[in-house]
Amino acid sequence: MNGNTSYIAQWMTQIRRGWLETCILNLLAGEDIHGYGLLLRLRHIPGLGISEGSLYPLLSRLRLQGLIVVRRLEESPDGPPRKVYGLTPRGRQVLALMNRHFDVMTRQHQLAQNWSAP
Amino acid sequence: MISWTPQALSLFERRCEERRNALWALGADPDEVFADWKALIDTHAADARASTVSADRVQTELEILLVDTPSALDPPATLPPAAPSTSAFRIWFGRSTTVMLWLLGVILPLGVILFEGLAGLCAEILFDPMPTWWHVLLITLVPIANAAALLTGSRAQTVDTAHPRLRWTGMANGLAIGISAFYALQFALVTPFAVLAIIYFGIGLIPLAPLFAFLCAVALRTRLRRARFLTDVPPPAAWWKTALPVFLLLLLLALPRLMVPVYTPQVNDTDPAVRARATTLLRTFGSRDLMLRRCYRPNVNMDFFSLLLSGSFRLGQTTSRTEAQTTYYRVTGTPYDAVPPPRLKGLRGQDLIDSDWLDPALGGERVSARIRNLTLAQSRLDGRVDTASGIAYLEWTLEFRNASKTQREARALIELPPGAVVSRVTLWINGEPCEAAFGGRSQTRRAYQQIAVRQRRDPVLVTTAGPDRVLLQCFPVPVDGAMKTRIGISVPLVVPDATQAEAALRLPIFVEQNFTAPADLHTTVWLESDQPAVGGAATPLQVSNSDPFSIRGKIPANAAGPAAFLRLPLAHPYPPIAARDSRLPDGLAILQTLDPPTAPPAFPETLAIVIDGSARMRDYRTHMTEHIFDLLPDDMRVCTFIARDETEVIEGKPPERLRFVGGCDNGPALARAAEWAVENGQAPILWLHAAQPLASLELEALRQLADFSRGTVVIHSHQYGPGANRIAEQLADLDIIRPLPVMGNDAADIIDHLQHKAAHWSRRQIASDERPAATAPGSTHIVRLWAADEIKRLSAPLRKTGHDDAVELARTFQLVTPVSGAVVLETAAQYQAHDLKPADPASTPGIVPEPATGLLLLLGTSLLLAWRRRTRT
Repeated sequence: MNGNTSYIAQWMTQIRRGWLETCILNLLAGEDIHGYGLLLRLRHIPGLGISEGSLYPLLSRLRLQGLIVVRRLEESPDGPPRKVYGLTPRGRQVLALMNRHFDVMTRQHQLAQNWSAP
Repeated sequence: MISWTPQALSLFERRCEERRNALWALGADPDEVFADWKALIDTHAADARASTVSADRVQTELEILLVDTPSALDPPATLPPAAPSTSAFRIWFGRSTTVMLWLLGVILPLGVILFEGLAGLCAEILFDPMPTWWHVLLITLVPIANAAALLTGSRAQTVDTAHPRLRWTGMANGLAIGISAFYALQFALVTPFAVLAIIYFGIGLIPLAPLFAFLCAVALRTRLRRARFLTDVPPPAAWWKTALPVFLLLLLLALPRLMVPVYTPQVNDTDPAVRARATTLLRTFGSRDLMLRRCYRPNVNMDFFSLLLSGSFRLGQTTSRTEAQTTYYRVTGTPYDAVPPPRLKGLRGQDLIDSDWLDPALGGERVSARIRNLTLAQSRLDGRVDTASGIAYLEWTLEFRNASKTQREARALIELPPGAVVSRVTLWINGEPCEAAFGGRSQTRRAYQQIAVRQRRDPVLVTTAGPDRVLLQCFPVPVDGAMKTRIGISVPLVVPDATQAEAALRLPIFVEQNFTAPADLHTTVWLESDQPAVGGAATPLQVSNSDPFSIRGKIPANAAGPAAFLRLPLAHPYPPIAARDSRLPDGLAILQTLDPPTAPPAFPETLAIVIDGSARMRDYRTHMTEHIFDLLPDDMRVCTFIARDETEVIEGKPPERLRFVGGCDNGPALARAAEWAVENGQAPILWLHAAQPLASLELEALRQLADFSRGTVVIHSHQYGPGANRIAEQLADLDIIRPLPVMGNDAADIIDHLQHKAAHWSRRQIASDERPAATAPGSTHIVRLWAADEIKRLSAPLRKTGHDDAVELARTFQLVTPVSGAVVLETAAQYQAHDLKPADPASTPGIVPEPATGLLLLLGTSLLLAWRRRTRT
């Protein structure tokens, strides 16, 4: 790994700070989903793949922060019942703020790219 | 269902524990994440059609799972405190905690429940924590739930066995938290003392049991959560969703009991409005069982919630026994001693009421509660009726037997025939009859209390208890022994209708007693009469018409039902009678005449009716309406005062639908009726009431009115059913309460009395030579009855100097009156010590005609024959 790759990796880690949480909350904003479903959806979004070992601690943290809640247990024909997660009202409020901030940041990014002196 | 091998489970837990701190630092719940991981492994096993998760599978899965944990995540802005690291100390601590949880959360509560159930210590001293079986059930659930949580929460068990139990254990744990929190709060007042007791004396765990059980239940909640995350059991409802309802349920169940100590002081408040409100509340919601228990143990149920509800944390505030007894009567309408005492057990399981309970009324002026194993063994009424003199003399012999373990005092409230007076009292000491000494009321009571209560010797005391009533007290009735006494009663015959040649005699009866008369025990009656008698409708007496006419039979010995009575012919018009007695000054005699009413019989123009609104009057509602109120003339001006918690005043006759509830103080209603009567032409007052077992709190207004109205306030009272009349006793010195002389048919007699149909005896002192020519000689009882009248006149409330003369007169003529009493003591020294002198047996009345009376009768008969012979010629 050359110097650029290392730098990009660190920069990506910084960018991913909070981004993964926003994506999970956005997925849950549309419907209630169980943990494995979330994992599959995230893996279908390029660049957002996350390991099972990391997803569940993240879900636990979001639940303790009061942003998501276990809505119910969904019976599985083979395995154990699955926890179905959903957004709490507070989670919806936080997600709205997050999305707004990302829109602002996108515009800021475009302004910075196409800078012309006023 | 996927099962895990113990090795797999062990490996999984060990590896997870290694990540605990890292997950904790990330802000995640490690136990939750472990459970999710475990579920994931189960899912993968199911996908692979495996029924068992082995250690190898776990190893493989974890290598994938834990590869980047938690590197892909960012720590939160604020880190939670790091979880304690697993160490030898932590393992030791965990095991010690488990032992403590078993000890304090299971064994201690179970032991305390068992102890309290057997001994009832807390119920006796503070409050009853288990008043119903529902409470026992709920309390027992706490150690059971704690034990279940300990067993289920253990990591040692397999997933399969834990799975079905967790849901129910979680719910039971919530219930245990609610129940133990309730009881921990209830004991909160005792908790600091219990802690100090443990520190200084090493005892005091019992009151702390609820608190320990609560703390254990809370600690076990955490364990259950951890165990739940390791399995796939759905989470139980939040702890407060089960704890709060059961807490509120217990509070609701306790509310009737909590209200009792809160509102008892208010029922005894001086403000009538406060009294009325508190009485109504307790009547509607209060626990009657607790109110009854507090009559014997006044300060039970002093717990945290009671003090909280009363808005007062004054720990020293206590309720007196009298307040508790007053409350019970006001709320229920039944005196506390008219119902069986509650079960109160001591530490050794002994019955506190039966053996250890000291008689609080010993030597006092109240009959109070019935005492177990104190019985009436014999009751005999002998007498002689002398219609020629218009009198009767009755002797009632009573024998009490005591089968209890301690000496007892027998007490009875006796209703005398109308206008009668006790003129003889005898006590058998060592088989010998001993006559009473007559003295001042307080003098005789003082002697009785000193000899009986303090020295525990053999006296008997008779004092008046309101109009036409006496209180008989005998002490001590020895253990497994008997005590025999006799009272002699001089009785004027009643002439209910002056137009009829007929007199009536009502026999004495118990109206209240602290002993039991067996159902098969009757008072054996044997009276002799100079005229043939007719038994009353409800009187089971046989009348013999052979001369001398005798009246024999048996009447109930218990305080129940109306008194038996007889009707006898009387000379009409009745001739004047003169009577002599050696105790009268020389040359003086007593002339007795029968005076008809001063005006033709008629109803008064105005009438005040006072009706006792107490529950015990309920049975007499129809009787009063149909037989009394409906018979009153329509043009009579009537005002009705119904004694309730607050007096209800109705202009006119009482309504047909009267409501009777609780036990009401009749004093305020009487006072208002008296005020109305004075303002409306000195109208008579008719007071229809049940027993008044409590003194009235508001009689001062009535007393003042009676003092200043100079004898114009007259209350004609009629009591339905047995029992004491404390209000009449309170007003005895004013002589304004006049019990109606009813004979069997209450209603007809009351109506007749209101129309002034009765004739009245008049007795006055004359010089022997002033005696009218046709005067017949009469019984010495006429002189005793005159003395009783004279004593009443001398001791009238507005006379300030007559009291001593009245006492002296009572002593001379050996009478029990409002100013005097009779006491039998055991030795001459005891009499001397109290400045009393026993009556000379020769001067006491008897059933056989007294020598003086016999001579007078002989003389009278001779005079009458001589007079008839002379008129014929």
